[in-house]
Amino acid sequence: MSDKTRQTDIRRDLVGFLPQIRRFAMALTRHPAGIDQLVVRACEEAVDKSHLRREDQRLDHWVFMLMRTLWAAGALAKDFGDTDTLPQSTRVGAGSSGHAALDGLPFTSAPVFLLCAVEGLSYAEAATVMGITPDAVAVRMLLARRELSAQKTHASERRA
Amino acid sequence: MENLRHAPLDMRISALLDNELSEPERLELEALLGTDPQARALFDTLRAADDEACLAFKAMLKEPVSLDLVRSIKTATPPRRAVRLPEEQRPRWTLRPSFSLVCAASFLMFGLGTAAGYLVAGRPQMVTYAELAGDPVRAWLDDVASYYRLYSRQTRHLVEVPATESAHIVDWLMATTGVSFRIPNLAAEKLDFVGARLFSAGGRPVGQLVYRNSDGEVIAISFTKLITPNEPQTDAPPLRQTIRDDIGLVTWQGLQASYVLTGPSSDADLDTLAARIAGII
Repeated sequence: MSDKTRQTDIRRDLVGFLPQIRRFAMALTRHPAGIDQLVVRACEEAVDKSHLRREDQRLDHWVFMLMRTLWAAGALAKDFGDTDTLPQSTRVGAGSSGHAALDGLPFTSAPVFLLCAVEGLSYAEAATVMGITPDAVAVRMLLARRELSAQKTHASERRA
Repeated sequence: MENLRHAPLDMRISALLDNELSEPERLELEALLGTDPQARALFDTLRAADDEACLAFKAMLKEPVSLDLVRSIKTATPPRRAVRLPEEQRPRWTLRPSFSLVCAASFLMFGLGTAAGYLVAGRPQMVTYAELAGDPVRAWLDDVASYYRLYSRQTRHLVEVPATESAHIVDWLMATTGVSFRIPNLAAEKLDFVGARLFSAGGRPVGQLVYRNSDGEVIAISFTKLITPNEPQTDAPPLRQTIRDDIGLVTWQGLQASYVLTGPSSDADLDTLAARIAGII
């Protein structure tokens, strides 16, 4: 496969993974305004550094890691602002039943829960993507589940 | 995950939901879930919340993706790479000599070396600087002959210093050539002293006393500091006459100088004249 063909394939594959990549961006940032910009930046970096990706490394997992690195570096901080001070109406979950669970998760637990419980990554793989230890992944998974179960209990009690 | 055996129950259940427990831990926890209703209830609660959240996350995948986002990624600029221009296919030639080829090459090199050695050894000796420079006696005589051929044809500029300044001639040439001499009086031989000049021959300063005979021919006595020939001639005659074209040269050596008498080769008494001069100069 030529380099040109590989570049084209990577961009095509990235487009195929766009829903997953965009969802991870939502879990990571919790901010709807700059999500697409973060996704574009991560995908451009993936194209630019495609030769650095290991053959055994899944493309979506690699893009997740690039995105987390971009976010951690604060490269797009001015586009996102301070997430903790966002009004409730601007948060991801506002007006969307699919985002309600995400909005209820602790800030640091949401991307980890998405990686392990939804994307099916092991703790070790998720730790690599997030740049933390597997033990920290386990703790964040527990915190996420506690929060989710509490929300579920609270909702049941309100319905009753 | 390791060391979850002593972790809180909900963390162990969480790890069980993620298949992160080791086999003994999983078996132990499943046994507990089978016997402990509270643990079972906690497990069910966490799993139900898990399932609900997963469904919510999966629903997020159905959200529309903007066309601009897709276009931005599809048109992302690939990294610049070095472009290798097509090159002409060069025939690859690898050296794989066979045994016969090696033998042939070895014999060829041996033959060339032998021939070169023979040629070098065939020369009697190497060319030395002295050989390149030539015999100093021969070089001196060559120059003297050349100057004679040139000046003997002069009429007004035959000499530099005329005969009227004989004392000055002696002082001048003695100081210049380092040879003490007297100006021979050759009136008996019908030679009139015309004057003297100085020139360089064989890289040495040469003094020349110029005479003219009754026929107008020029006879010159040239002298310079003693020249030692390359090959000493033990039985060399005191006078040695050579003829170069129309010029006759008679050479001899004194104690401190080398002399040459130059005149027309047609002069038969040139050697006799030289012998007389050698006695009085």
